[in-house]
Amino acid sequence: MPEIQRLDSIPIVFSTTLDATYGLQGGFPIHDLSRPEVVRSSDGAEQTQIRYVNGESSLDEIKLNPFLFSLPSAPQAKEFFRAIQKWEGYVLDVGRDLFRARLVSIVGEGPDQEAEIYLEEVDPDDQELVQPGAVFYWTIGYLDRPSGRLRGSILRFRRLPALSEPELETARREAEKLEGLFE
Amino acid sequence: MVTVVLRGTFIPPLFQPAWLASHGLIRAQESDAANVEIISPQAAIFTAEWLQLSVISNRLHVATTQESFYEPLRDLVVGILKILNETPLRAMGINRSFHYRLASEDAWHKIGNELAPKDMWKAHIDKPGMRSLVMEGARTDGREGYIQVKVEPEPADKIKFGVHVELNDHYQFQPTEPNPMNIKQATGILSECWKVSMERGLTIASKIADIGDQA
Repeated sequence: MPEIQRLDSIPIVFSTTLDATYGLQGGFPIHDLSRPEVVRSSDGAEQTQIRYVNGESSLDEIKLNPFLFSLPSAPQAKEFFRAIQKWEGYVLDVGRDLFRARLVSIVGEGPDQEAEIYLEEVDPDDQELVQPGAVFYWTIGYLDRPSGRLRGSILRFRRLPALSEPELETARREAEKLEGLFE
Repeated sequence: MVTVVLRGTFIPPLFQPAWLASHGLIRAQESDAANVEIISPQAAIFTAEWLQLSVISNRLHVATTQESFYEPLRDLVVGILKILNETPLRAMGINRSFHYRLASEDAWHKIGNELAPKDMWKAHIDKPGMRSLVMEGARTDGREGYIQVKVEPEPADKIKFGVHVELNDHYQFQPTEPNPMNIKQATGILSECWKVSMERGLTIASKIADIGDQA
């Protein structure tokens, strides 16, 4: 039996069930695991909020409570992007070097507006998403870094899975119905 | 920080960065650079630049601390639900978390005194102080669930004179047992109620912080 020094340094492994008592078999650090306290509202409904509580340990075993759950730790931010203005944009048309879009404010003041945006502003991975009707999010703000503040913008296109054939069919029917209203 | 928590039945090993990228839900570069903590039959936990994802058999939790990615986070959850369109769900939470640093100790105490008056306590305990307060209210949008607000002082070693406000915008689906039919409810709420939820969270948290500003 390994000598127990600190709870967070004891290696253990997953069992096939999550409510088991875990032996000291080596392989997985316990500090990656925690259990959310079961939080219930006044009417007994299960809550969708998470609070973390560790398991229990004794000299010869570690007992982790009924289920294990842990969010990956958020990276310790040395840089922080502060949004001043954020828009949801809709691509109207796409040219050779730029695209035209309607911008609706999400953060910050201002009416809807149209803008022309250079395609090179768009991340290479998002270029194929720049099509009429596509939705994107555009944030302008400050990047605060230890070495100083930078003004910058983040432009990201909406990513959704491709429509299934039944969804396409439904959309076609809906379009035909709407078209009929204008005839 | 914004988090979306789904309660239901999930298959954790499905949730890998490469799987999300293969469906176009995150960029290939984000998948390649993801930091995977564990992918196992019981749990999947990873971060991918702006995204933190954690899933076990009965809970999916996605979060981002970056304001620019609140809407992409929502789209990611909608995308996952559209792909896994037979996933039994029973509840969803759209949660926001705020951290405020107050200008002075007086301002910091004013929030606690306003939210949890001390007169009743002073007769029974010495130097009463608010450690945590949770308020819960009914929804007014006709949906099942509740809205919960939690206010706590930040640990002094983290933020001096700091206050942490958490909002849990909880939606309970009908039927309450995990049911694939609840997918439509979840995607509908994410599409229709997101903006309201974000604005409500900011309004409530700002209101609480403003109590301190008035000191």
